Amino acid sequence: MTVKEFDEFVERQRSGASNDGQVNWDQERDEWLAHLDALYRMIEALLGKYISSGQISVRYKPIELNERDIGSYQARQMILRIGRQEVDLVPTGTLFIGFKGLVDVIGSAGKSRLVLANKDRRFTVQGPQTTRLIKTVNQFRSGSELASPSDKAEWTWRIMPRPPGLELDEVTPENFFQLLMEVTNG
Amino acid sequence: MDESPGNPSRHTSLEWAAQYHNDAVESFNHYLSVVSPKSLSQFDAYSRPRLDVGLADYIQETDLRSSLELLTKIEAAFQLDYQFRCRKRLKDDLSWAFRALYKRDQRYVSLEKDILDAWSCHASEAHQIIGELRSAFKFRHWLAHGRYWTPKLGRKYDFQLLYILALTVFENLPLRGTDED
Repeated sequence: MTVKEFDEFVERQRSGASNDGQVNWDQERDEWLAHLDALYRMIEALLGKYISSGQISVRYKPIELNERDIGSYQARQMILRIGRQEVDLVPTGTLFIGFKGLVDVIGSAGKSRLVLANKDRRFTVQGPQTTRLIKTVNQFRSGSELASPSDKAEWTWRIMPRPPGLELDEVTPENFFQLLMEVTNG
Repeated sequence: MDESPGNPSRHTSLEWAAQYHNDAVESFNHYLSVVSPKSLSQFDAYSRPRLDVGLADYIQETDLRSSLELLTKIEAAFQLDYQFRCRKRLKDDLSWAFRALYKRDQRYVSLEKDILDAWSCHASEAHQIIGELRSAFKFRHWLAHGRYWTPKLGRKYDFQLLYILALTVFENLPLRGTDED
């Protein structure tokens, strides 16, 4: 590596840090983890009948996440036991273009994904339960969400579609049960 | 777009890549299902758990290959944009920066060191998308160069995430030259 290449590397990093200067990454991490806890509470409520009857069991285990701007931190992974099937809800990180959080839902027959998306009504074009993914990513044209991800956005958990699908489904009991059956080949 | 099999440009669409990926995954699901005749003949020594592991490996491999395909589409779009802006002598700041690069290196510029740097400097709205792309292209290098090391990535990439990244790039950045003379 030449000195010139190193100079360019330092400048790139400095420029990036300067543009990120207004983002409080600790706050972003804490908000994301709070949303993650809220998701787990919602799922426990959705499955309440099955959990209280012992048909489904829930446990958690800590996992280590490492993200470019936040660094290393701990989160909780949710593990659902349904008979002989196990479904893991694995948080994979926060702030991926347009989304404030990502959770993989992994079963024996496949994987799905939950995303924490902006609940902005402007992007709801298919009725109250769906949001067009294309509209969600188009928020970047203004740059507002990218520049300051904490700005007054109202976040809600959605089910990410399999490409090329574009509809982000709301996490309703019906949708979540269907998701669990898909990843377990139920 | 003309979706007929003879039209090579149909292979460049993201939707087509997604459909191809889904069909490949579905094909393996059928091929390695316990009721598939092919599976029964070829994998008769497998117990069901071993069959599941084999299927999971095939699906994971398909995901990696489809991910590389998406990343090559993104790279091609940036390279075509660079060439178009230089050829057409466009007057915006980004095109001026590209022409300076062209004087220095002509067609052989680096995507990450040259093209993405210029986008970061001269298209401020692109800054965070470019940051995510830089990270994704570390994954692309790992995929394209034999996967012989353990990549240190800020994120775990897969086809679904990269599809959204590609969609974001193509919907939000004014990339020129893909469908233009």
